[in-house]
Order: sequence, then structure tokens, then C-alpha cells
Amino acid sequence: MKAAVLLIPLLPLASFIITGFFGRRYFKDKSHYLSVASVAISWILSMYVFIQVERGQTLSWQLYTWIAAGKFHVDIGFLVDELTAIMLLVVSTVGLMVHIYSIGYMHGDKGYYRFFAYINLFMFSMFMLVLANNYLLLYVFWEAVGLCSYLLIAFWFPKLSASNAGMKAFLVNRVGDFGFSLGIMLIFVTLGTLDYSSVFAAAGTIGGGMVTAICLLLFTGAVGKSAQFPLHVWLPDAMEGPTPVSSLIHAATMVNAGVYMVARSSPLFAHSHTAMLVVAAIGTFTAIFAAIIALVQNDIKKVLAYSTISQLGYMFMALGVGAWTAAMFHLLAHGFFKGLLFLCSGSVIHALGGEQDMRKMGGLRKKIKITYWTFFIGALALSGFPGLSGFFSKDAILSGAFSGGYWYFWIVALITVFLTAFYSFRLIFMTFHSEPRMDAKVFAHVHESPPVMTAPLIVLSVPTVVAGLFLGIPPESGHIDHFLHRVFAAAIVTPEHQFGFLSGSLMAISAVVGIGGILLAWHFYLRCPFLPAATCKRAGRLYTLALNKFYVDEIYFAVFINPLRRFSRWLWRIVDAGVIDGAVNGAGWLALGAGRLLRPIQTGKVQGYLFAMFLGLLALMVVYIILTL
Amino acid sequence: MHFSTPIFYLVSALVIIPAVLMVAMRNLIYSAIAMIACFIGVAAVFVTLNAELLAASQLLIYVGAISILILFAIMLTRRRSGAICLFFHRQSWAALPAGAALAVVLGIVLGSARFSAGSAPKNPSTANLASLLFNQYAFPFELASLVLLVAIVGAVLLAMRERRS
Amino acid sequence: MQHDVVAIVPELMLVAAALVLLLIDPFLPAKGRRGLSWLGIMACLPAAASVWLARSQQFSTFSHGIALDGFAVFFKILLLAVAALAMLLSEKHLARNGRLLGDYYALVLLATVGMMVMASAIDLATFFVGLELMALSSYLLAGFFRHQLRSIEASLKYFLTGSFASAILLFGMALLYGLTGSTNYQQISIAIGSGSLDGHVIVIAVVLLLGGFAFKVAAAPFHGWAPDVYQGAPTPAAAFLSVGPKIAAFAAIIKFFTIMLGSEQARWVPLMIVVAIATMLIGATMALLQHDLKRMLAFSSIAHVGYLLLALIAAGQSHSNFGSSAILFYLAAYAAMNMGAFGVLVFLANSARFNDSLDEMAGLARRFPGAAGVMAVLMFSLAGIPPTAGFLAKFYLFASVVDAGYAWLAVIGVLFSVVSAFYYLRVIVYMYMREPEPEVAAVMEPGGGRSWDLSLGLGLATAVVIVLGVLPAPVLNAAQDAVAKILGS
Repeated sequence: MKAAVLLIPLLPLASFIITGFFGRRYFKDKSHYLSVASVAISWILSMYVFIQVERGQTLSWQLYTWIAAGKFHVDIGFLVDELTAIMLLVVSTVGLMVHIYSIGYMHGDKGYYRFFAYINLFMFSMFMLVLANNYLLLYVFWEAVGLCSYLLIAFWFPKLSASNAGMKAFLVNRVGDFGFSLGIMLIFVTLGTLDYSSVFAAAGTIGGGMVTAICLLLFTGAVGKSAQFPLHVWLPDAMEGPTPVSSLIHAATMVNAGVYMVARSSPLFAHSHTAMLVVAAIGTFTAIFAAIIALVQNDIKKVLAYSTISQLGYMFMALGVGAWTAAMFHLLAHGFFKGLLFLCSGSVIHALGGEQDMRKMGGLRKKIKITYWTFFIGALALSGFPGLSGFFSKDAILSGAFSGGYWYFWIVALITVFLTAFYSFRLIFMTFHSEPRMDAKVFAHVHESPPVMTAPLIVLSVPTVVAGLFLGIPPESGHIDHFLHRVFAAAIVTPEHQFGFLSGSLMAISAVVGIGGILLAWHFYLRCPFLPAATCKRAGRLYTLALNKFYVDEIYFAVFINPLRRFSRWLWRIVDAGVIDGAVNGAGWLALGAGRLLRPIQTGKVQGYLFAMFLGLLALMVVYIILTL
Repeated sequence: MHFSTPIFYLVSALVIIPAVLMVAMRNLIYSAIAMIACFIGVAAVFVTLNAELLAASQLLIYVGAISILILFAIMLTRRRSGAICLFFHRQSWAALPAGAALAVVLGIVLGSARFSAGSAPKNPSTANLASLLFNQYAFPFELASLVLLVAIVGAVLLAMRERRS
Repeated sequence: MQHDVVAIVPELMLVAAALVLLLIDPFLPAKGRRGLSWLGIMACLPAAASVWLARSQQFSTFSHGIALDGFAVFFKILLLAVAALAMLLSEKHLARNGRLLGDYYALVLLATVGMMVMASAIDLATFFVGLELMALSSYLLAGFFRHQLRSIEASLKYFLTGSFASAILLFGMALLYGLTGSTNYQQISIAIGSGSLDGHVIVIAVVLLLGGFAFKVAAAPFHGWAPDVYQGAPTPAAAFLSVGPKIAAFAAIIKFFTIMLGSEQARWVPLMIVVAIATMLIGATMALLQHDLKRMLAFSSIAHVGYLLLALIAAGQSHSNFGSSAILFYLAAYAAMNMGAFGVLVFLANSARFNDSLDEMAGLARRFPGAAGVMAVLMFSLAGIPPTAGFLAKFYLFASVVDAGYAWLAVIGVLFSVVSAFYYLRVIVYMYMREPEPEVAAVMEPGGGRSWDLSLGLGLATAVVIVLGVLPAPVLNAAQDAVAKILGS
């Protein structure tokens, strides 16, 4: 098992190095061979590890000592338990499918080798992230997956919006990581260790305020990485990246890292009711907030992006109300069906030659059948249609919230279920049904994607359909609950109870609400196609707000970025006023020669520096006088 | 209070005048002469502190050698005065009160200070100085030769003509 | 008596090499000066070896003016490495600018001697002469391209402001001497620790010392010279000047503030907090505005000094060795990444007409994939992104600040390092994600500036940055050991 655990991340790393260095010259359009092969082996090994874990075998393995400085000690090592196993399952499966899919999708791109190298690097980092056995290692690969994500978002960088989106993702994530790193530092300082097992063993000994502070700071990191309000702004822009990337990184794996991290830290969070409440509140708010925005977006990938944000919000709500297993269940199910949906959207975009605007789609149902049906299955799962994986996982969250006494979260979540079903089928109907709204010439060229792209769609739709039946029945004591029970044993607050009348009726309610959303979408977009426009006009301001994503980006610009810019310019004028003079004069005196040599010195620059030093001394003395008074 | 104390303060105050003049003069030659006066004043300060050897070397090195060098340098270069009057720079309006404030702070604190080294005055005689220099401070004394070496190298580097041209 | 010499053997080796360089240089034809750098570099190796051999020694000598302790050993080896790296980066650049002279290496070596004395001094007089030796050599290195006006201007500015700062420092030291009647750190420390001295004068002395040191490490508001000097100085010299003097000054600062003034920390910590915050603020925000890479690196190094000062506060506050060892480790990481970044600029300046502007970095990855890759690693390290040395150094440093009870200061520090990520990332974005302007691209010809010692230097710097990030334990242990074995604590 040790060999398997070691090889799972190392194979993609080796492939990254080889493809990255030799791809451009030697592999070229065969760059995917090594890439796909390495991930395929990693997938097989992940399956093996999963089975081993299911048989009760876990692994905690110290590889070597990273920092051994006095009382501070950080090891590099692996921890494989049930939680890790689930993550490995999602990451390797979706990863493999996306790799295969990309062979078709990226075919002919001039950065073909680069794409596979980056995506291999991502697989390595993501595997390491879930395998890490301490917070510092987690943080390192937390940053590394982020890095790969920026690289891949900006993959088509000659497009200005792509490189800007990469930059934005990086900067927004810095804000979250800022909190995350402080949280880790706080753990380091209070407990003197970052090892999961020792931290969780000592979780009870940290004071109440401190544990809340730690949890909230950790959660800040999760808010950034998992695109929760108010740091969600980077994810929609990240859709500038190639669609397989959106599927792998921005739907199925990396964005789940925040959920994974909070779930992993469950023993810490269990000690802070406040932090849990904050997690639940942010999650719930994000869920409905993003769902509202998703209702009115017209870009097919943007709808899915906001949907991802909203679904991640669900998971955080589940974590916050203590339904840990439900969160992981939803993570698993969502990983499959959202990965599938993105790949399908990629197939649609591919078929239309790059068109992403749903207003210019329609009527594709007959032309691209495989894509349509797999997309349909994914959308049903997303809407929580009874029997599919999304239904069971979503229901687990809803009943967790309700039985935990958080009926207010439950209501909001239920509304979100309705909205989700509505926008999912709005997407389906606008894209595949009704009349084609694109040029006849484009429509004539629409063609199904090659098998290398459709096969992953079919493969991914299998767990989308059956995962819930296998894992989620009976609700609340299904297979997944038993599987994860050991991991969350310390953190589960509500006693387990059997599936009964209450749970059954909750399930029925959410099923009805979900189907209601689908029906309403049908009514709006197929039966009475004039209704959407009329409603938008009615909704007026709310519609404008949602269409503009509630102006969050604009608010950030007005509140943070512009003032910072203005401030640093101001500082520049005050402190470094000589620079402009210097630059302007600079050109002059270089041309005019030695006669002007001393001029910059005499125009006050050096005197300025000396005067600043002088004032500095004076200021320090004054500071001291003030402090002692 | 030692009888030389008032003389010390008087001489020290007088030294400030040529120092200010040196910075304020427009003509470089006048500045240089003010500088020489300032050096002589510093030598006088050393005398009031019973540091005769320092006073003598101050006169020999600074007044005798360095000042003459600087005067030569000024005369050999064509321009005799700075392009802009340095003293009434626009910054001086801010610098004056700031300087005054710093002087007040330093004056108040140092004026009332008790210096333990001053309570047991060391004898700054030549013999004592020599013994300190060659015993306790032998290492920095030798190290100073490297500073001089660097200074010479620097002078050569900056002033000498390119060897191949 | 033989012990006395052991303490300064490495310095003597460097001085001997410098003298040889000065003496043989005039007799060599222009072409024969190729490889002179190796004389200097090779002098650093036995010097480092002799330091290493004496690592278990623990004594003071020259009338308690010089200490040979673990602390000095750490700093001397670090400084020798910096000097060797600086010389590796230089040759081709000097040759291209027609200034391939042995004097340059001699000055680097003599400056290094000054720094090593600063790091091992435990007497004010010794320390000050070492400082002046370093400073004077630095002024000359900054102005080494005397045919370039901006180089001469940099030198002159550095000299003027530096003299001012030396005067401030000297005044502070004179006050300390006046108060305590001694120039020895330990005796000063004892005298101050007795608590019978005039507290106000101590504060004035502390402010003056702080001001003088703040100049040497380029902390606000004593930083004004740094961007101008780094920009104007020959790039390899800027690499050396942006690292060496700071390392030496921090060695002295640790001794001054945590040992000599250790009992007075209640007085200097608030002042240091003010200086540290101002330094981070100015460094991080001003770097945002720079389009000249050398100026950007200058302001970025100012920001790094701000972080280091935070650790100094931690070192003064808590009586563990955490803060000081964080400074030592940070300095080692900073030396590698900053010199490496300047080294890339040297490489580009050698390859083409390169004016250090950000615009010229556009599309660099395509024309110079190696240089761009190295620069990317170094920028990530400077930004503190794992798994580089910069990340671990920053993590360790901020952890020490939190540990000392200054969580809020650490928050401010991390916040500024978030801001700083922007300007480092911008370089990477330009290199990898921007198309070059056609007229700029035409000027840059690939393959023009290969020189294998420069490549070796860059490779070493990058390797250190990565190794320190992945396997930091040896250096971290050495840093802790060094701080534990500081003489007189």
C-alpha cells in the first residue's frame, strides 16, 4: 500500500517533468500518451487504495522530517484514511476522464504539450494535497494547485481576458490564503505542531476563543479556494480557461479542497459553535446568492460556474450544521455530475465552433445526441431528481440541516433547490430544445464530438446515476455514512437516527420542489417562450442586479483596488517625488552630458533623502516621548 | 566644574559659525576657507579637552594636507561656484524648524545627562593613546589600513584615465 | 596567541587575495583578465573552509574586540557565499562594459572583509571600522562604471547619504560609550543592565543607532538611497549591495539590540514597530508602481527588511531564540533569491540591450526559456509561495512574531506580503503571458550573453532557493545553533 500511495502522486509528477521538458521538441501531438498513461495508472492505484481502506486498512506514514527546529517539528508524510480515499476516488476518476477528453478537445492547439504538462502538475499537486498528513504540507499543495489553476486559466493568454482572469484568480486567492496561513501559524504557535493527528488530539485543550479564531482563519482559506461569498468573484472569470480545466479544477477537484480542508479539520470545528455557524451561514448565503445569479446568465459556462459556487455553498452549509458525511457525499456526487456537465458544455462549445452564448444555441438535441443525453442526466442529478446521485446527497444535507435544528438554513436551501432545478433546465431547454438561433451555416456544421470526447461523458454519467443508489440508501445510514463514520466520530454532534417518517417527508418535499423547478423551466422556456422576457421586465431592478452579478466586482474595485491605487500614487508623490523629476531629467542629462552631472543631486533629491532621515530621527524621538508621557 | 569648561563651550559654539558659512557660501573658495577655519576650531576644541595629540594631528592632516588638496582641486576645476544656491533651498523652510526641534530635544536630554565615563576622566596623553591604540584597539587600528587602501584604490579607479584608449 | 589568528584567518585570506588581485591586474593584458574572478572566488573557498574548521571554537580575542562563535561562523559562511556568488555573476557584465578589472573583485573581497568584521565584532570600535571598510568599498562598487553617469550618480548619492548615516551611528555609539565608559558590547550590556544609567540618554542613543542601522539595511524613512543606488550601480554590484551589507548589518543589529540593549527592549521595541510598519508600507506599495525592475527589486528588498525587523521585535520580546534564528534563516533565503533575481537581469543585460524595464520582460519565456524559468522560481520565492525558500522563511519568521505575542504585527506583515505578491507575479505574467512589443523584441537576441559562470551562479541560486524550501533542516538547525552559541548572551 505504501508503494501505491507513493506512486499515485509521483507518476503524474514524472510525466509532468518529462512532458514539460521534452514535449515541445519530441512529443508534440503525442504529448498525451505519457500523460494519460500516468494518470490511468494512478487511477488504478487509487482504486486499489480505496479498496484497501474499505477493508479497514489505513495508513499514517512519516516520510521525512521537514522542519525540526527546537520545539517546532513538521514532517512530510502521508495520511490515508476514509476521507482521503473518497477524495482520491473523485480526483483520480474525474482526472482520468478529463485527460482522455482533452485529447480530443485540445487537439491541434499549439500549446498541446504544455496543456498536458500543466494538467499533470495539477494532478500531482491535488493528490499530494489530499494525501498530506499535516497543515503545512496541505498549505504547500494548496498553493500549488492554485498555481496550476492560474496557469491553466491563463492558458490562452494572448487573449487579454484570459491572462487577466488568471491574475484575478491569483490575487483573490491570496486574500483567502492570507487568512489560511495565519490560521496555520496560530495552530503552530498554540500547539507547536501541525500534524493532523496531534492537532486533533489536542483540539480540546485550546481555549474557546482561540479555537474559534483558528477555525475562522482556516475557513477564510476555504472561502477563497472554494469560491464562497465574498471571494467567489474569481471562479466565473476562471471560465476563460479551456473547458476540460473548468471541469477538472473548477468543478470537480480543486474548488472542493476548501470543503475537504474543513471536513478534515472537523475535530477543531466541532469545538467552536461560532465558527460552525459562520461556515453554515456563509455557505447558505452563497448557495442562494449564486443560484440567483445563475438564473439569468447567458454564457453556458458561467451558468455552470455559478452553479458550482452555489453547490459548494451547500457543502459548506452541511459542514456548518455538522452534517459532515452529507457534505462529503455531496462533494463526491457533485464532483461526478458537475465534471460531467462541464465536459458536456465543452462538447457543445466544440460542436458550435467556440460559441458559448446560449442565446445563440437551441435545437441541438437531435444533432448531438450523446452530449444531449449525458447533459440531461447531469442536469437531472444537479436538480435533485429522485433516484440520481444529486438527489440523495442533497437530501442528506437538507435533512441534516433540518434535524440539526437549523430550519432557517433548511428553508433557504429548499428555495435554492428550486432555483437550481430551474436554471439547470433553463440551460437544457435553451441549448438543446426549441428552435436553433444560430446562423444556418453554423447549424449545418454542428457535429457530434469524436468518441475520445464522448466516451468520458458516458463513463461519468454512470456514477452520476448510480452513486446515490449505491452509497446513499438508506438515507443517513447508507454505505457512505458507515464508511466515513470513523473519521467524523469525534465531530458528530447530532445523534444518528434511523430513517423515519420525518426524513421520508423531508425527502418527498425536496423531490417535489426540485421537480417543480424543472416544470417551471419547462413552462417558461418551452411552453410559453415569451414569459422569460416579460418576467425580466417585471422583475426590473432585481433582474439587472442579478445580471450584473450584484455588482460585487464593481464594489471591490471601488472599495479596495481603486483606493489602494490612489493611495500608492499619493505615497509616491509624497515620498518619492524625485522619481518623476529624475526620470524626466534623466533623459535630459544623459544627452547633455557631464555638465549636468550633479544636477539631480542639486535639485533636491539627496537633500530630500537626508531630510527624510533627519525627520525620521526626530519622529522616532517624538514617538518615544509620546509613549513615555 | 573644571576651569576649562566655559572655554570649551565657547570654542565649540564658535566652530559652528564657519561650519554654517561653509555650507552657505556661494563661492567654493570661500567655502573652502570656512572649512579650514572650522578644522582649526575643532583642533581648538581638542586642546580644551586636553587632547593635544589629536589637536596636533587635526592641524597637520586636516588643515595642512586635506584642505590644501581640496583648494587645489577647486582651483584646477573650471567652475568656481555651484549652479544653484544651496542654502536657501525650498526645503530649508521645513528643515529649519525640524533642525531646531532636534536640537531642542538633544539639548534637553543631553544637557541634563549623567555620563559615567566623564566622571572618571581618562588621561588622553600621547603615551596613553599609544598604549590604547597598540594594545586594546590594535585590531581596528590595523583594519583602518584596509580602509585607507580602499580609499586609494577608489581614487585611482575614479580619477585615472583609461589605460588603453 | 595562535588562537588570536584563528579568529581572523578567513579575513586574512581574503585580504591576501585582494592584494594579489590589485597587484597583478596592471600587468595583465585585457584578455588576460578573463578568469580573474576565479581568483576571488577561489579565495572564498579556503576562507569558508577555515571558518568551518573553527566552528566549534568559542572565544573572544583582540582584547575582546572579535568573537569567534557559532554566530560569527554562520554569518561568515553566508557572507563568503554571497561574495562568491557576486563574483560569479560579474565577469561577463564587466567585460561588456569595458571595465573588466581586478580591482572590482578586490573591492568585493575587501567589502566582504568589512562585513565579516561587522558580524564578528563585539567592540564598538572594531565594528565601526569594519562598517566603514564595507561602506567605502560599496560606494566604489556602485560607481564602478564611471563612464556611466547613473553609476557615478549612484555612487555619489550612496556616499553622501552613507556618510550622514555613519555620523548618526557614530554619535549613538559615542553616547553609549559616554554612558558606560566602555566600547565592549558585553560591558555595555552589563552597565545598562544595572539600571543606574540615564534612561533618556539611552533612548537618544537607541534612536541614533536605530537610524544608522536603518540606513544600512534601507528601512524607512532611511531608505531613499536604495532605489537610486541599485538602479544606477552596475547590476552585479547591485546584486551584491542589496544583500551583503544587509546581512552584515543584521548580524550587528541582532547583537546590538538583543544583547547589548537586551535589557532595554521595552524602550526600543515600540520604535522598532514604527520603523518596521513604515518600511513594509513603503516597500510594498512603492514597488507596485515601479516599471524599472531594479527599482522594483529595491523596493521589494525594502519590504523584506520590514519583515526582518518584525522578527527582530520578536527576538527582543521573547527570550527564546526563535526570532533571531528566523532572521538568520530569512537572510540566507533572501540572499539566494534576491541575488538570483539580479543575476537574471545581469544575464539579460549581457544578452542584449536591456534597460531593466518590465516591458522588456514581455514574452521572455519564449526567447529565453531558461532565464524566464529561473526568474519565475525566484519571483515565487520572493512572493513567499511554496515550496520555495521564501515561503518557509516567511512562515518561520511570521510564526516567530506570533510566538512573541505580536499576532497583530504578523497579520500586518502577512497582509503586506499579500500585496507584494502582485508585483512579483506581474513579472511572471509579463514573461509568460504577454506578447513582446516588436521593437523591443528586435533588440533582444537570444544566446548573445552566455557565460558559463553566470549560468552556474544562477543555477546555484535557484538550487538553493528550492533546496531551502524542501530540505531546510540543515540550515535551520545551523541558524538555531548559531543563535544559541552567540558569545556574551
